[in-house]
Amino acid sequence: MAYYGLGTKEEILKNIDTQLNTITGIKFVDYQRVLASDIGPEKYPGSFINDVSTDKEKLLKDLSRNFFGCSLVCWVWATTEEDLATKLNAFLVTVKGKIMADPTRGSKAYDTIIENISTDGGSRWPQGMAVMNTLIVFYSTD
Amino acid sequence: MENRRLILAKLAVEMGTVVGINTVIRVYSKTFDLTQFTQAQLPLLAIIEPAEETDNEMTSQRTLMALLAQMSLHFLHWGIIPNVTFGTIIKAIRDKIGDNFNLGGLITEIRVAGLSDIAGAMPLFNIDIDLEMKYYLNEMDT
Repeated sequence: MAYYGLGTKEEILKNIDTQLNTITGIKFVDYQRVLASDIGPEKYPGSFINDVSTDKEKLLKDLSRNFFGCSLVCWVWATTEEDLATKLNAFLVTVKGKIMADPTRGSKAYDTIIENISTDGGSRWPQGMAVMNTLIVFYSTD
Repeated sequence: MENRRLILAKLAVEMGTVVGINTVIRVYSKTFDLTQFTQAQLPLLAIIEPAEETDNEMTSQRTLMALLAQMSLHFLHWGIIPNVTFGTIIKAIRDKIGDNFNLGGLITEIRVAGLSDIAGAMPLFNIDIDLEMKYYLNEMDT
């Protein structure tokens, strides 16, 4: 794996999209959405990739260090035979593994940090939701 | 029998001929604005306005002066440890100083007094080079 870190936000989002789509059993990945309320049961489990924030630190006239906040909204559906917490936890472990398998996002980022994960605590049963907030550091030529 | 203005101008010219250095500037503060420069202008050598002290009072209005200059080398390296990149340039700078120990007759001595540790973080690093120069000041000229 090359250690680089020069990329664009679009390349990084595409890398996350590609990684999430390799999860066995995932049904739906989309961008910039908050609630899964309009998603049918056939699209569970799934994830939204949300571009949340970008903080730019100028290093040179044509080189910046970027701190890109990206939130992954993940959701699962538990049947009556399934335990919702177990299912959500298992899905989160899988998503986390995919995200951290290559923190350089295909050599387009310097690092990826998972800052926190929060869940709905089971309040939406049988639907379970969680938000995984990531901070991605990358360099750009703008 | 020279003055600091000529010596520093000559030092800048000589450093500009070092293979691997793309830009030489003279600055009055170590915290100059590097964001005004592009990647193509690096490696950049900043000659910081030196401290000056009397080394030896002499008769006939002559004084041996010491110029304590610092040069700051800024360079790009897309890796964690900038080994080869800076090593080659530092050697070239030291060789240039060794070959021009009197800066074309302007001074009586120039030597590298010290090298700092490498500072910065990927991809932008810098290292400071302390120089000590001695020259005869003709007080009739100043």
